[in-house]
Amino acid sequence: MDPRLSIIDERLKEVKRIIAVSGCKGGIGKSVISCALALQLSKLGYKVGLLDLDFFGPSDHMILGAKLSFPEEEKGITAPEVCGIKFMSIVYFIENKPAPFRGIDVSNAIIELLAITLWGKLDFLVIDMPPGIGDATLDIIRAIKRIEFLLISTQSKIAWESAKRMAEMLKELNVQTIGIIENMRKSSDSFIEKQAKLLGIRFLGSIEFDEKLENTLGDLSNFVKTRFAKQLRKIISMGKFK
Amino acid sequence: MLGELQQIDVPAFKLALKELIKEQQTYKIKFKIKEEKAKLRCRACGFEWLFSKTKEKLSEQDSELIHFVPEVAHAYMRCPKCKSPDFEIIKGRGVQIESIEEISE
Ligand SMILES: Nc1ncnc2c1ncn2[C@@H]1O[C@H](COP(=O)(O)OP(=O)(O)OP(=O)(O)O)[C@@H](O)[C@H]1O
Ligand SMILES: [Mg+2]
Repeated sequence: MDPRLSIIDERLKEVKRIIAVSGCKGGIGKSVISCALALQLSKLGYKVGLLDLDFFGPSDHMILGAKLSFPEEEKGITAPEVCGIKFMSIVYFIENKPAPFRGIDVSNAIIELLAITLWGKLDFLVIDMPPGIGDATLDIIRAIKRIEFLLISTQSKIAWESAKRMAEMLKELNVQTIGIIENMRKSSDSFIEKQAKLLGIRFLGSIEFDEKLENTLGDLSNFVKTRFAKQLRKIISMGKFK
Repeated sequence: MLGELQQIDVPAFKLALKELIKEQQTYKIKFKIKEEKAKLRCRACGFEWLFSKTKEKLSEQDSELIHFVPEVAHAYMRCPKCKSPDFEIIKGRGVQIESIEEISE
């Protein structure tokens, strides 16, 4: 019997919505979108938390340019505030060291992190998911029954194929999907929008490929001014994030 | 069963359990608390060792991090025999309910 699962509900009691940013394929912009989404919701006046669940390639602290100091502990660990957002990541625990985890370790560490982190009152908790439909995805679905998924895909058929698998699995498991965002758009091809419609998932909009984005990673004031951030803001303002 | 790796304050844990028992009146409840030494096994060479035996090599802060999330031991420890980071925690990881029995009077 694992007592940690019942603690997780208690820990997330005061969090209104929990959004997992996923899409299966690697390198499609899950992390930059998670960060920009959290920042924008916070700017709109919401209380926001961001949880980086990518244990092999944690990257949100780099995108945010966060200076990490070990979180405070009292009956749990308080997620430290970074750029106005409550932020939790495995980097607080492994620092810059390589940490070779097996699947079972990932699973245990995810449950542990969810069980010890104190978020307090939040309107949104954004979770940056690792690529794949593996341990992290299954654990988050098992541990947080009211999780909602935000799917990301590029225009590539290959990325779509994975996103589709993911969407189908979520449907089968009765997990809520907010919709899909097309990222790194380079042509006017509307393949993803059409496919999403066929599959019955909401197409939320497109973000173009922005060659200026890379240089703003870690530099928050310029990151939020990119065309990338602007286009994401437009998608957020369409009303699915309230 | 309280695993060593989670480093739970046993007196505080007992106190919390006592409070819980007081809150509900229906059953008489007895707890038996066992502490379990943490044991690790290397997946590469099969060597098994006790966490407490290698603990001195860790800084206080590193071992504190391991107590929060035991898996991060993979970032701070290696198999004492073959230096592999590919080991598993086979005992004493966390809190477990070993068994629940009904005791009739
Ligand atoms: N719209 C975009 N325009 C230009 N570059 C982008 C865009 N979206 C993401 N990128 C870049 O693509 C790279 C991968 O992005 P990111 O790390 O967010 O992807 P990911 O899906 O989180 O990857 P992983 O699967 O490894 O976690 C980054 O260098 C990022 O700057
Ligand atoms: Mg990522």
